[in-house]
Amino acid sequence: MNYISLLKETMIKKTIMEELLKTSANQNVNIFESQSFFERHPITTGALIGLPLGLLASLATSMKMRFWNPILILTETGLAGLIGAFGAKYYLSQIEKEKKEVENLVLEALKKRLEV
Amino acid sequence: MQRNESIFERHPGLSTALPAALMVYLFGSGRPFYERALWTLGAGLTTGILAETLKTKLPSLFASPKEFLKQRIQSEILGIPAPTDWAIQHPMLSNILWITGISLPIATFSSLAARNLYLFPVMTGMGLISGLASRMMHREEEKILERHMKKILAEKKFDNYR
Repeated sequence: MNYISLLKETMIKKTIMEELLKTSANQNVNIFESQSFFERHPITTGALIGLPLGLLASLATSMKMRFWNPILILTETGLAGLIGAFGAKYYLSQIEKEKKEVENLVLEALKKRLEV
Repeated sequence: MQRNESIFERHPGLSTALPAALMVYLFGSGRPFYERALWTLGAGLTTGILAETLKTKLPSLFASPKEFLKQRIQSEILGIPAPTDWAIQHPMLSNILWITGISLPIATFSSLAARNLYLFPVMTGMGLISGLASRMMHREEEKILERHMKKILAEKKFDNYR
């Protein structure tokens, strides 16, 4: 590879990097540190979703049985809350695994762009 | 990109028909056997066929946040135009629509099996809340992955400049 082509390649890479710098990542550096409520408290978020669903499910069960037992309603609602809480925790762990896939995807796309 | 498909993605009909049939079977307790069997079969078949049809005919309704991000990366970095599918442009509506849509036959057959009309709005409400919750979780996933993508892009750039 001679000097001119090496220089050309370096210039192209630099231009692409500058463009990327302008467009996507460095617009907001603080964005990397900010975490959503779901990330900070996955169990609480899951429980908040599961509880109303459990309440509706217990309402449906009580309607069918024509029997309004508070213990049954509380048990069913609590169980749904627990399932929601652990479900959300599991979902967050799955997202953590997906990060690696996204990383590969971005690197692949950048490589392709440099090849063009 | 490799994707770990869920049971629902692999077998949409079967994975929705079985819980629907079980639910309606339980709600039909105390009814004659033939009536209980009829509602159970009806719920299983309609839910399964509906889910299978939606998955086959409108696959974009079930697109995961990872898919959205993949399309975004391709359009922003590689310049490949993003698809202009209705379901992709309105993820909130599409999520609620398919979950509520699937909950409708379950709610209908449950209220028929239990001979209680009030069960219908209660179970449709459950479907609606599930749809909203599903969209909320997908949005969170989108945000987390997007933030990670931006972080990698920033890291790569600085490495190249050094």
